Amino acid sequence: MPVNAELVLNIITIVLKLEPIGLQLAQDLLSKLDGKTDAQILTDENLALDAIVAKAKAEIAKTPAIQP
Amino acid sequence: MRRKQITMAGFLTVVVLWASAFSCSGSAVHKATLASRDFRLALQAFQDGEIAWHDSGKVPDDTHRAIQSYIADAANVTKQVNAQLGAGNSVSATQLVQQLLVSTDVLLNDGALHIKDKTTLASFEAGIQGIKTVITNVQIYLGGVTNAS
Repeated sequence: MPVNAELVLNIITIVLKLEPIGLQLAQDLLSKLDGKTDAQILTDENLALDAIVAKAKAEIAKTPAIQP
Repeated sequence: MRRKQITMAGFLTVVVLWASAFSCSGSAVHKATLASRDFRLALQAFQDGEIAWHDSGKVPDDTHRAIQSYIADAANVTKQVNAQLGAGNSVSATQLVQQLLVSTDVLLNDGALHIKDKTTLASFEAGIQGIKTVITNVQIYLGGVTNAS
């Protein structure tokens, strides 16, 4: 069966147009599942950022500084 | 080791793509909040990757200290961004994000001078570019936040 190039192109175009809608639905779903307010997200983020700072400081402390 | 680098580059790509998906829905503050979370995830992935490079001898000690110092500073600045975001102060948040972008550029230039291994250097530059993209996303979403003050 011969492949209709125009049909394939149309299907690709439709899929690309639907993609943002799919992303929006996924995002809405995730927000609902997550169930967190912006304030709660920011509080959690600050805890995660504290952990990054602690890890960085530990790395700096255990790495010898080169003496001039 | 190479597997870890590929994993990190892949993770950063996913983070950047994920960040770009947030242009679809939610308020401007919500988008900026999620973009800030993306930045934290990218920073965390970069930190883990850099520690692995250093442990395998690809990054010299002084450069490792400088990069981890940047990461600690960036995390602290992000906490300030989050505080301003929570208060609805988009002007201050935007200024802090701009500061992040400048320090990231400095790290990119300084770090690149001291990493001799080509594969590690390429991963380092890709990681930093990924971080810059996420920072730019935060900036874009902050542009849509109405200043509370």
